Amino acid sequence: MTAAETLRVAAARPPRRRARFPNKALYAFLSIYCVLNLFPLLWLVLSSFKTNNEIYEAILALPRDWLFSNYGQA
Amino acid sequence: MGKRTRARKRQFAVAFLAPAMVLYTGFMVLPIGASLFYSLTDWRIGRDVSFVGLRNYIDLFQDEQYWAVAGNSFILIALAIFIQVPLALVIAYCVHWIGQGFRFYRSVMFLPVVIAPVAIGLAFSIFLNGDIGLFNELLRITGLEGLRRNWLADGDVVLWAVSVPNIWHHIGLFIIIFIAALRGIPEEIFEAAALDGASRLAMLPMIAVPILREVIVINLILAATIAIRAFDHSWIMTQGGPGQASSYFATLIYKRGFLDGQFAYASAIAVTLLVYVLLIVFVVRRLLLRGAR
Repeated sequence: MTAAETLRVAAARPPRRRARFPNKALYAFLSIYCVLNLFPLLWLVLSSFKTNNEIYEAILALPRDWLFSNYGQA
Repeated sequence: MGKRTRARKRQFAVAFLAPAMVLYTGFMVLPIGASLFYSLTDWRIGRDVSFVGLRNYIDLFQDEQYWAVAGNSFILIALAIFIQVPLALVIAYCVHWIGQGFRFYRSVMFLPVVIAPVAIGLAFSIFLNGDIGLFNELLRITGLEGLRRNWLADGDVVLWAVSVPNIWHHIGLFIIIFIAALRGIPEEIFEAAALDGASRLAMLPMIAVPILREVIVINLILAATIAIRAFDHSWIMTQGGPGQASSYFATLIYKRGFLDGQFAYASAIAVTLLVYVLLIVFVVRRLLLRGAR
């Protein structure tokens, strides 16, 4: 390989990628933050179908009966 | 340009500015003026108003509760300036590079901002409840039993229990502003940096931050003013208690003005607040915009 050829090959090679943002870490980080953002909203929506007692008994559970009447009262 | 055309142009301008001027004076200048005036009187509910000079301010600066509340508010402002805005920039930078799902992440980042503070406060008052709260439950599951607290009744931690939801609630606004600003940076600049071998991590402080300097200043000022007006979350979660442990300026103004009926005293607090806001804006602009333009 002549010197000229070496140069040409070196020039054609795309620039080496240095420590780029690891994309998976990016997704993981943002997804965790998204869950953190969505959770209170989801919880509010779910709780809107419960009775007060139900909220205090089992904070996380799905409503036993979906009380759409809460919306009627509101 | 003839004299008449210029005069007509001016009339035109005045006509278009008038509505905004009227609204601005009516809803901004007059109330501020009124607060200034009332802060110099001894107005209480059901009493005649008489002028007392700086009496209220002297009382104020000797009021221990005022300084306790000021400390709480300054902690929140410090959180906003040193944690909230930098974190928003980092998150916005991540969202900017995410590629697939960009619009989804952008929307979710902004989601909390559109929920009413009262609803957020209610949700967190149950999450942080000492007996049934999710947060304590989480600590129990992860084996951090020792960290369990009655978050909303323990004077040592209640300020954090109230401030963190507040910071979280408003951070979306700054994320959105930063994302929009990042979109405005020409792609070529990042490409050129990549050719020079810069990693994306390095581009954040070396390229994004200098270009976004003015946006950062705007966000810092916005964050500080939002923080200094904080009220809803602490009021819903703890009514500012126990004692004044989770009260901010606005909470104290509300308590003094509407619960105790001391409107003059509350006005004096409001005026000091105005001074603090102006001071923060001045300092932030002075420090960060020096040498710009």
